[in-house]
Amino acid sequence: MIPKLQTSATEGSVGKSTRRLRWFVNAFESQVTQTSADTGNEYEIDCDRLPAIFVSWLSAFNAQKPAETEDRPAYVSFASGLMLKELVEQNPLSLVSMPEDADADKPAYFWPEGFAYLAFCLNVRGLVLEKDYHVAPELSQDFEDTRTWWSFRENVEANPALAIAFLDHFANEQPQWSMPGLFQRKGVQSIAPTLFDEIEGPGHGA
Amino acid sequence: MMPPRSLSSGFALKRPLRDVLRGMGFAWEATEEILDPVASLVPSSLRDGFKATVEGIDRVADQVNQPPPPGDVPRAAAFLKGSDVSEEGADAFVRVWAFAADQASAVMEQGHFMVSETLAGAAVARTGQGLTDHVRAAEILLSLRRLHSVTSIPRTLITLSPEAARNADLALFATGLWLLAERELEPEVDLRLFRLVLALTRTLQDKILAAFEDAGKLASELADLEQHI
Repeated sequence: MIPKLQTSATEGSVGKSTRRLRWFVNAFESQVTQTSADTGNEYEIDCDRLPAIFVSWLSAFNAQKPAETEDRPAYVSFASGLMLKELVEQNPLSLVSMPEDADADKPAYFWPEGFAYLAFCLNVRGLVLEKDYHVAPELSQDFEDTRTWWSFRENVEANPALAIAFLDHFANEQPQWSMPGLFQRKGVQSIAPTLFDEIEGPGHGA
Repeated sequence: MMPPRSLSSGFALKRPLRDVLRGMGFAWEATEEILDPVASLVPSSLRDGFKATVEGIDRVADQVNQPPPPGDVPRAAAFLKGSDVSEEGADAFVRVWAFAADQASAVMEQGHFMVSETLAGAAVARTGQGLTDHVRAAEILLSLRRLHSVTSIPRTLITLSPEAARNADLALFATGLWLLAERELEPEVDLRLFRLVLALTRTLQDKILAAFEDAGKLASELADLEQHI
């Protein structure tokens, strides 16, 4: 299960709130508190890094923000992946301690920081989709799968942009493994698999 | 009979006296840094006496470094936006700006700087009349910068290094941006927001320092970032 995210009530669009520094910092801290309560992991947050993460994310968000309304729900997932990428790259959390009986095969103890980052990004994605687009978010069965987490950690630490594709994977969306950092509009998505198959052959992926 | 005025109410003091106290704290801090390498050469009794004196001066100087009284921050924000251009609004703005600048200087690893409320008061009193919001805010920030209210101490070795000048500009921008943004209800949370805004400003320092070229650019940068605070 993903540790829940408690956020203060927001007026208007949740998506717009996420683009405010104070919302991001409060929500992230709240997520870490809840993750600690659920897992017994104790984290330290480097609060000085959070504004830099926010700025990098906002810049990346604005760079590819789609003009067409129909692309916006898909962009919510992409933007959540961008946030996961920034968090993994700038790593504002450090683990202070974990329970003595922690099972290292479980995601929360296999990669405690990554678990908190992914929980935060999936929760924010779910919140925006539910409140702004009335879409119920899904969670992949692979969320608890140890092998998937091995692949997630190894690939993302080598190439943080793959966090965008992994977030889609964990959210039961279609990941773009080949060019994860490039948002593909709806029209492009439908022809992209064909194009990639022609270039690389079927079965490409991380 | 009037009760004796206590130094603990540092905000009740006149601006020049507050500047003197702030200058004392700044100068002694620098003196400590200068003398630190040779401290071991001084007899311990003399060293202890010096340390006690410095601590006493620090305690007095700290009276100007307390958080602003309740109500000052919203009033300062109203002054910056042009919705309260009264003398009291200007006073609140200067107090809040000086406090924020002191806080900002304290968190900088290097390039510390000092502010003068007396010069700042003169600068803001005649700036931005008839203007509102971001343009007025930009004009006020530029007037503070032009008058070097963030300055060196005359007749001392303490001068404003290029790094300190940059830090002072960043603190100035952060203060303006924080005051323009939506207020938090709890004063402590609001002050924490300032520290976040300062960190954000430092992250974007190249872009922000370039915006100090003219009021239009500065106003545009303030407006652009305000919506994301």
